[in-house]
Amino acid sequence: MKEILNMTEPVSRKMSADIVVIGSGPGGAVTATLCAEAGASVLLIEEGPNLSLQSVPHFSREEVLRKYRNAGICIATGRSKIAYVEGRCVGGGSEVNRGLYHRTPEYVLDLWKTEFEVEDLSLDKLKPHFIACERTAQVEYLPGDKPLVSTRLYDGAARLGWQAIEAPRLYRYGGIGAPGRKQSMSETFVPRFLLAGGRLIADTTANRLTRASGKWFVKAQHAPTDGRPRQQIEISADRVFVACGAVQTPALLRRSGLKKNIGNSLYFHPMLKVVAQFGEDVNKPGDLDPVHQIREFEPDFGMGCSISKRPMLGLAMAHHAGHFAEIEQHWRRMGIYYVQAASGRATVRNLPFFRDPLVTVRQSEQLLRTLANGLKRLAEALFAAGAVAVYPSIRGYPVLRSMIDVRNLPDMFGGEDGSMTSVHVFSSCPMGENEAVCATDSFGRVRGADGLFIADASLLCGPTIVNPQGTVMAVAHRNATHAIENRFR
Amino acid sequence: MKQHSQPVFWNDIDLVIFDLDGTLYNQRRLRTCMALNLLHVSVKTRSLKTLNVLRIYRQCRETLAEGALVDFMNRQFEDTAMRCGCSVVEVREVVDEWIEQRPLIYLRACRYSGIEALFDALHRSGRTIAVFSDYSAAAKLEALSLKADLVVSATDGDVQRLKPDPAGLYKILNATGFEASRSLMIGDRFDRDWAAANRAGMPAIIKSRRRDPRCGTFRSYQDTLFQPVVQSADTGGTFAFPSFEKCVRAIVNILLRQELPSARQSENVESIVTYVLATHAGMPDYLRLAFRILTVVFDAWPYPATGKPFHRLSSDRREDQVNRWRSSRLQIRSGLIAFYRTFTIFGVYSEIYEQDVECEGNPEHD
Repeated sequence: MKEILNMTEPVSRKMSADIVVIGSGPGGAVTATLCAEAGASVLLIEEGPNLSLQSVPHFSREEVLRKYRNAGICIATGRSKIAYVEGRCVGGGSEVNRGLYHRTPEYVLDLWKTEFEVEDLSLDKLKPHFIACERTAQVEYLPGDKPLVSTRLYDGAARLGWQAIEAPRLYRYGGIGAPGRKQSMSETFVPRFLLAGGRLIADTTANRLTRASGKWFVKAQHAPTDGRPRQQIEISADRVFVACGAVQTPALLRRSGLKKNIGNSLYFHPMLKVVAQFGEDVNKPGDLDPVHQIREFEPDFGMGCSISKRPMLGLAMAHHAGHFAEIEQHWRRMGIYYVQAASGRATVRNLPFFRDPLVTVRQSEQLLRTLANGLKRLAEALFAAGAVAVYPSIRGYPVLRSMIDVRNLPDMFGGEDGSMTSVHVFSSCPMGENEAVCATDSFGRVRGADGLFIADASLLCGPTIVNPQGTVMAVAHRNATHAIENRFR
Repeated sequence: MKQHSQPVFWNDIDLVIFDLDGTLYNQRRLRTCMALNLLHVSVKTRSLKTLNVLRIYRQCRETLAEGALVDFMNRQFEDTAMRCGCSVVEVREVVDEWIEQRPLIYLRACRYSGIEALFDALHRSGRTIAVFSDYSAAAKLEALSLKADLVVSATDGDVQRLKPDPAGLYKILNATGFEASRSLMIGDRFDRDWAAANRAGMPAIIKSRRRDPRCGTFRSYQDTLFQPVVQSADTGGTFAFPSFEKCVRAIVNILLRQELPSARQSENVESIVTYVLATHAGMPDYLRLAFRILTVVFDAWPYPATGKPFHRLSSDRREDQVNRWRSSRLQIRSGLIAFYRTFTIFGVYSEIYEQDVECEGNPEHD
């Protein structure tokens, strides 16, 4: 696999291809693979470095510095700001997330179909695309015993009669007791793309798109991390798929003069976290990542369990005095849990003289009430699961010792302290036939820009409620298949 | 004036730690004075007992320093008493009189030329001065008419270790919040002062007539080595400009002092500072610029009151400023500290619990 990933394209000042795909995350990697396998000459360019999945430990500070955009600091500004993260490396977000996987809930697709007038979209019609992606991406359920930190959430929900599930992951478990291996785009679709003859360039930032003489030109900067000099390059292509992620895609398109319904409707799944402390050990060295989620309150909010290693516990407990001693003494009894809902609408705008776009979010009072309610429900589930203390990761919130403390929590979350975080970002350029709100047609073709497509989470019409990676891959697969069948017209 | 070493880059030094005996005063001259005094007493009392106790006490102390024992305080008296055939109380009385009290009378006359000007220049340049001695140092320093910001002795309850053990240096670094690489140890013994500094990762210079490959040496405090700092003080003192990186280091040091129990405060601070600086360098460009400007403003904030930037303040004053900004109602001020606090905490937990992500994590890290 390492050898295949090293098959990167030599970079020259002028390059060309039939198709350029900008961005190698789940949307871009799936699109590039299908196009290359259809016989097109495809150049996949990625802003971040080309690193193997195992190059740095997962969820380490080295990973944050090397594989996350902006060293993990992306902020949607506003009265209730959201700190979010995006991947910035070959494979994009799939390299840095846990790989939890869901097919899109049917009610979400129905909503998109009616409100955004997306043609040919239903769970049945997406099913073959889900199956095709799952086969390559290796979506599996965890065999055997599940981590205790994860089953505690499931047990709490069961005691309260709430619906809870185990989510599959992009993960090759290898059977009970066997060493497994996380899967990602760099492990699955990118090697498939390279084997099909596709060409990959990492460390290359697309700055602007222009159109002339029936061709698209991508003006980019190649900045190798190995010390070689930076280089301005220009790539010409008949077709361009933009898959830079839900923030960078609208930023690139707006820099290129394309602004209609682009970057006006970004959404997040904002999360609030808590640390639950149990009466016995639940957090064991060597445990696999947690997989259980509570779905009882969807579509209002969902709940789940996060990575609970000590550095993460330190961050989650930072608002509580004496956190170091607590963690040092009790970390094996602690787990991090979250509640997540759908955010208010955000916008993406470029700032003069700056490279990074400004994201501004407006949260509704309803969302802040929903999150406050979700936080109470999460604490309720954790106390039902046997927690002896729940530490909200929110400045000024007290340690919760019982349901009486839970009931005393505010009914509305303030959100000013920056404790809202998100790992799901989407919908900045929605697809559909409703031209009043949609940036592309039902299959990702940018309106008024012949041969220009969007192929990432930007296309989703709104929050997916569940983890969106499955939806992003299936929609990219659907749209790429449609484009190939229609010869990119 | 002949100089034995590479020049000290004084701009990189925030904290200067002096050894006391033999470094701040001429120990040979003092010993001569004390020997004459002792001889006079021996003749008068017709007894060599005091001389013998002091000789064996010094031998025991040297031996104990080699062994790096924690309980050296009692041991040095017990061993001396046993070897001299007298009681521990008698040894304590002799030591107190001849090592602690009587030398104070002669110390001022034995003070090295130029040391007062150097102390004055260091103070005026905004640098912190500490003294670290194996013996009680406060009274001697007063007798020398010198003032330090911090005086630490190997006999302090939270040190209890003789040089070359660097415990006393760690205490000074923790108390002042400066990192070892931005500090300088000045002493007179390679086997004690240089060795302790070397173990703490701190540069050192040693007062010696000979060159030495281990570190720089100097003959007197009039050496050209010290001229940059003395001369700049003569011309009004070194004006310390606000510095983004120095300020970040100083903030991280204070936050570590606040967030960690004292036993963990000597974690790899430089690695955490490097991580925080790398995080700042990676953040969105418009935020990066804003944070840089705000950090420099934070560093310059104490100028009106103290004439020094934040990173040159004493540790207590720095902590006070961090706390005031942290609890400020102005979100721009509290947000700055919250940013550095978040990444300092993640950095230090990652440093301490590196094994969580590298060893005991998932089998996926194969």
